[in-house]
Amino acid sequence: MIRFRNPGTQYTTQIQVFRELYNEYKDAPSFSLDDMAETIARTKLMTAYGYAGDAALALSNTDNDSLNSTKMNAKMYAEVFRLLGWITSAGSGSYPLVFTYIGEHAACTDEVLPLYEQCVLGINNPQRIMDVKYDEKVRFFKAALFSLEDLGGIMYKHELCLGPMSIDDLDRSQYARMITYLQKLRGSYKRYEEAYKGLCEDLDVKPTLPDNSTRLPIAFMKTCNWIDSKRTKDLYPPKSLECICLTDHGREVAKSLHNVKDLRLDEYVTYSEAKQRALIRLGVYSMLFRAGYNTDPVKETIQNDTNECKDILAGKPLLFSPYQTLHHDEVDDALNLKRNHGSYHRNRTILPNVSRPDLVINDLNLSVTVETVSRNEDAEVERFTSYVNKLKLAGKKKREIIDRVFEECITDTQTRFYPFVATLFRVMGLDCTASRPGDNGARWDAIIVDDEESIPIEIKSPTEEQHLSLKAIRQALENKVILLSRETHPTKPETTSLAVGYYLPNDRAEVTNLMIDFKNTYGYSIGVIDLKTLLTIAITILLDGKTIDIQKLNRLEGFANATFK
Amino acid sequence: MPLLSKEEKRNSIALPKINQIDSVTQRYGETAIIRGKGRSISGACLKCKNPRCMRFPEAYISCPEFEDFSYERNNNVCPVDAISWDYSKDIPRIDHEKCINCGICALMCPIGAIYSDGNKVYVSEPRNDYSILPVTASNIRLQEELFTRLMTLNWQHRFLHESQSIMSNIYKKVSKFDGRSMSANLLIRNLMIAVGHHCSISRTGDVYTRIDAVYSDGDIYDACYGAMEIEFGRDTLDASRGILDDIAVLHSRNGIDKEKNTALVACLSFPNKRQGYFQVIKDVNKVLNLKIQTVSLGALLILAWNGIEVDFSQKDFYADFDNLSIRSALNNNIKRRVELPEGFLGILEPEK
Repeated sequence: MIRFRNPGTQYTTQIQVFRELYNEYKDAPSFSLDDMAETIARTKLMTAYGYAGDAALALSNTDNDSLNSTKMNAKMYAEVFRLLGWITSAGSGSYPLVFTYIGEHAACTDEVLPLYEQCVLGINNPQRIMDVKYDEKVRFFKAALFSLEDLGGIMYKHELCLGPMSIDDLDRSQYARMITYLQKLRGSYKRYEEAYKGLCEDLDVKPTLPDNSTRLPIAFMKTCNWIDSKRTKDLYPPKSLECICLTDHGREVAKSLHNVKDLRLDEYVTYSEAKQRALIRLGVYSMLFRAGYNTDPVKETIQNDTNECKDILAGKPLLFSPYQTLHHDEVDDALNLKRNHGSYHRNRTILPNVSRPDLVINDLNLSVTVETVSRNEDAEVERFTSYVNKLKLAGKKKREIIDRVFEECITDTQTRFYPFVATLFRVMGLDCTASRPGDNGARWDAIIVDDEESIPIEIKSPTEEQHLSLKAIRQALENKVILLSRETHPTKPETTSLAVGYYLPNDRAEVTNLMIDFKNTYGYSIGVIDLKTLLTIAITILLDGKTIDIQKLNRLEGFANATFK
Repeated sequence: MPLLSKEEKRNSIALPKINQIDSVTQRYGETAIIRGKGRSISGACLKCKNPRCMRFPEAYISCPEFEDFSYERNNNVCPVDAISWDYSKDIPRIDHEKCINCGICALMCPIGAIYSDGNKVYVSEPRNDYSILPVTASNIRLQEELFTRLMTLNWQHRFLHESQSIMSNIYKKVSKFDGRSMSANLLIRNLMIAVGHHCSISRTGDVYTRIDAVYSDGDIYDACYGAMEIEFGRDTLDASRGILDDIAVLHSRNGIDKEKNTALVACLSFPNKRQGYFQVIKDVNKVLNLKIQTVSLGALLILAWNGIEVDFSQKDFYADFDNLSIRSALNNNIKRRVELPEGFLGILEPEK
């Protein structure tokens, strides 16, 4: 199966990025991935960690390229533009890059879409320009349009993987078998599931890989207005699936492709050098002509080359994209292109000194003292206490007990998890109650009630989100504002507002950033506690007879970490 | 080797046969009337070299106050791509299937040549009152001089008089927007531009930018600018949380003082009172001293259709639990009563 990586699919951003790159490097002999990253960041066409421009560059600057989000972003666009034949390798390696003659046209026009459409049709395999080689010999988008035509104008995205991505499309019998196969698959969701599973097993890949491979092709086809989306149960009942449907324009394009000379690399190499050079010129000029360019200045060349290749063309228009098939030296040579580079001076930027906050902010500690906890026992606290004691009597160590309870909570929904979190705070001796589910009046999920410093708690159960997200932090701020405004419980501005979840956030740096932003802007502290920390504190209190320093909790800012003295 | 050029398909431009234009007026549902030297003619397409009804200048879709905001560069005036150039007639063509009747293209037309009958939008073709001229540098210069003159007249566009049926039709079409498409954000951005602001929206797929949009009135002195959250779904509480996030990020990271951030929530319809949004907006005002204003799509349409340049700095569009309506702000701006019943589509206050 041919693969399409998962790059930026937004057309307007693609075009803007390409124009900016062209403006910056049109006079340079070549440009690198670092150059691209710098331009994309500087023109604010990407952000990193909430920052744009030089700050984004500085923040993503790391020795490990795969962690450098700006560079990875640049690589993503490089792949799209290479696929479209707008840029290509300058030499034998993947980088540095140069603009192609077609790419120059794409950069210099207001109406890019007609040329974009030609370039999408130009994507074919095999070719000599990309590192990755696939077994299938296919002009994918032509095959996809034909498949859509032959399958009633509608396909499910994974049918693209099972069908046109996995065939040699010029082999008529193979194509026909593929259509019959997909037709027979339809009517049963189970049949489809088995087929898709089989494909993944054959390729030895996770199911997400073929699925991701459909994103770019679908985006390309939507941008070209060949397809739109429709949700239907018709294809694989009883499942309702979002399918792609051929538009009128897509139908017209498909129709026009039935009557072209579709030239591929395998055939191209069989011709004489003179014919190859003529085919290159005809391929490039016919793409530009179909995209609305005035080819009068090269009319004579086209006429001569058409005569030279009349046996090959047999009166049909040529579908052949040289820059998407051959090395640019060969194409440039046939077009008699001389690359005259103007004077170009590269200015390297001195990056600002910015760093991500997780590098400088330490987790906060909750210390536990050795005084005895005093709490009002209630049924839930008693139940939890006896469960912990039972596990202890069964020979479990404290860490094992914590891990066991933690694992048991993984499937908890809001109705179980919120009261359980409140119970754990009560074990600490705090007066904590969970709000009733659906009680819109109480916006927080639980609250620690105190005579002076009540603390609202935003809780995310593991079935809502396993890792706390920015959303919980936003809600914690809202809880604080509401509590201060409505004065339902006494509190102080400096008292924390808590967010509790199963795991700490995945992107701790961005959550830290936001907590810092809230503190800087509104003056309120948000504290974040994960279930394991909460269990560690509660079970330590139960088993070791310790108490928590409430003042530390009241002033918690950032991530809590339980330590024991 | 030189690049090939696109075929020169644009053949002509048009200029009205009036030597000195004195005034332009426009009534709802009609083209503008251009008066000068004792005669008057109807506004008709000038076949602009750079059609203002199709593309915004780059400056309109960027906000200088928010120079670090990574914004969408699509500068189409039509949020649903319903307007394109008809090379056979050399004027813009409206795709009535796609068109939602928002009128933004009409409001951008310098001579009031685009109008709606309430259902469909039309472009008036230049007839005998106009000179059709070849596209030459001198003719383009003449046209530019005309635009300057029309700008200095500062005339007020009128597109449609709001009515229940017109609004219902638009809301019906907008409710069919694909939730993942940018159309809703583009529509709000373009309406903000139509009511006299610069406005930028975040790029689709930019996971690091949580701010939906930023706007600025473009004034050098005493500028009014702010963050925007655009919420066409039901989760308006997400918008109130989002706007506090936006204000904090801009204050803390980008040096946009929270006191100067005239933040806006743009929604399809005003949220229901029970949803808690307006209560939270009141809390935010009480505790943080921030007046978050709320505008609906319908309200922006009405303002734009009356050629109003809206001043958000006065916080007239502030609505909270104690005052759930922006009706009086609309009435004051358009200098008449909005003719929509209370609660209609949640345009000026929550639906009943």
